[in-house]
Amino acid sequence: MDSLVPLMNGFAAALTPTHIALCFLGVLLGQIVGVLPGIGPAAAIALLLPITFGMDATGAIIMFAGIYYGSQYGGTLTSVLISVPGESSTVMTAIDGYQMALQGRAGVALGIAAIGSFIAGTIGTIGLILIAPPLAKMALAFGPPEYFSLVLLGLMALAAVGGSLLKGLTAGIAGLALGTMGIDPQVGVPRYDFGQVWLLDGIEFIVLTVALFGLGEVLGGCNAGVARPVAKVTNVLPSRAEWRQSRMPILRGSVIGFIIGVLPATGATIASFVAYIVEKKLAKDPSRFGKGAIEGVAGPEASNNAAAAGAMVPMLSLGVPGSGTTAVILGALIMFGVRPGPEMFTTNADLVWALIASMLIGNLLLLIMNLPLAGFFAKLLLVPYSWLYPPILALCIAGVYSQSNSVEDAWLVVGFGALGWLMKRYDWPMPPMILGLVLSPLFETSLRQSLTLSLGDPMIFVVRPLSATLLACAGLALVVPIGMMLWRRLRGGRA
Amino acid sequence: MSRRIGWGDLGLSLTFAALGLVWVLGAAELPRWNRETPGPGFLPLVFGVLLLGFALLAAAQAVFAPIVPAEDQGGVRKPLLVLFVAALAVTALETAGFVVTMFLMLLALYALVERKPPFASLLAAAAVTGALHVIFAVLLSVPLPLGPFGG
Repeated sequence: MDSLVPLMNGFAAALTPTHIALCFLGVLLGQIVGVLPGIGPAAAIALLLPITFGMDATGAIIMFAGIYYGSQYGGTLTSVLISVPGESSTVMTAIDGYQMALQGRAGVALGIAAIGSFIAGTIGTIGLILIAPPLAKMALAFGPPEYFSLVLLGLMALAAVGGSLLKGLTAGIAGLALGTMGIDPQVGVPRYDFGQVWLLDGIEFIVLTVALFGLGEVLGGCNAGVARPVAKVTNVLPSRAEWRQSRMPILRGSVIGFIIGVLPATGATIASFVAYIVEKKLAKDPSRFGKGAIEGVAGPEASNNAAAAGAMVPMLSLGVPGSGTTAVILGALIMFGVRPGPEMFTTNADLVWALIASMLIGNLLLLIMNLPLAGFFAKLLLVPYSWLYPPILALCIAGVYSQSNSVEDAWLVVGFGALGWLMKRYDWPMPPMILGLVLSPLFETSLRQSLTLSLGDPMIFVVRPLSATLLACAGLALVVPIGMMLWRRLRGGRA
Repeated sequence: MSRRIGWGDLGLSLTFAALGLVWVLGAAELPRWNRETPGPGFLPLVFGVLLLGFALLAAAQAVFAPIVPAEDQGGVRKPLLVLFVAALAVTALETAGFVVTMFLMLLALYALVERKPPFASLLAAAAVTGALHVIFAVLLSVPLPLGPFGG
């Protein structure tokens, strides 16, 4: 009940006209970017960063969070209507959702997805209210060694979540290395400036994020210029029988999604996958799955929305992002002068609780928007990407230039944009690189402070129980995927 | 029998390896240890060595055990063309001014790269340029480069 008073204060802050408008704008933009091909929530937030630079941090973060969970709704539309998941977390929805659309039940699939997402988003946010503050309180005991181990855990977990652990680690370390450019934070020595004055500030988070997620996505998607035929959306309200079939999958999906979302770097994609498998296992007739079973839409949709709320738990309480998009939001928090981590609940309580309250409001806005407007959002799918990417490219250049009136930053966007395109093309994960750049200063400062405390003895990271636990978790994040890969190879070899 | 090589992965791995090498060489010029604590060159050296090591491992994987892409990656001509137009726009930004550069870049992308109808391309380029000008120059008061025409 300790959370009730700050939550009420959060509602008071979130229910101001400006913040309601920003929350609405965020969920609307999230819905749109979830629908549109070639631009995801991370890219949308990256593109909006320069525009929000002068805004108050609370309003901007409310809008960014709205984009994040709003995009989970938007991704469903493409999965159901054209069998192309707008987000990776809606891949499982496409299996039965598209079959429902082929049977003329696209409206019901979208309706149950919207209702399920609302229930799951609300349950997930309540879970966030219950878990994040005590977790943050516990983490207030963190000193420099614990911070070092925590950053290591965040990087390991995010690197391990992609297709290739080796590529994830390489990208993460590249980000950490780029983060050391500029003036050394402790002794003031310039590093890796290559004789260029403009590099003394290092590479800005916003430049790398816009380059990789903005220009990189544009270059990766510009070949796909033609829109696909879209199924018609009619009658979005489910019947009583359909609701009875869906309510337990929604509740199960909410719980599964939230728990998986809380674990660092597992995220909504794995949550929706697990929810689908669980529903199929529990079904009386599993053969209906893949042929338009409404439970195959309700479960995964609930789980990916609950996971989006769950991913906020490690980000807000520990400063470790649970997904690529929360990594970008984390960078945005730092850009606004907020230090993410356990002390956020005390030093920036107004912002955190306004954000949490806005998530409850945003979920309601999404439900209200989605039931009557699903058909309208479906029309966005008719816009070919060839009309969309030139303005996105222009926004990338204008946004980064406007940040510090620096044409050199615009050049960096072109260079890193080319790198982002190649990384996307050859399946190299980009979030670890962003996270590496964002967390590099904290990583270096905490390492140097820890070793100063211990007079150069690295055992300080192992003898402190919290730090040792975090290091063990980081080790597990590295060892488990390798073990699973070896196990799969071994089984494949025997089969 | 010829071995398939993952050329894309190899190129990216070698790029990251080169970055690692630059970091290792750069760290050599910085103090790495001051009394009991790491100096400004310590972590860059660690990052450089790790980056070099992991990137070379990834390069070896691209040569000896390449991962076949799950889906067709599409051609490279259009992305390269878009990248070239973007690079031209950045080059011209401070000389030609924001409005002129953005308008020409958008027009080139719509009319030349995407082969959209000329009138629609003109209209879209003008509308997007106008919207960007309003957002950045008017609403956010960003001093965008004016160029010889004051725009």
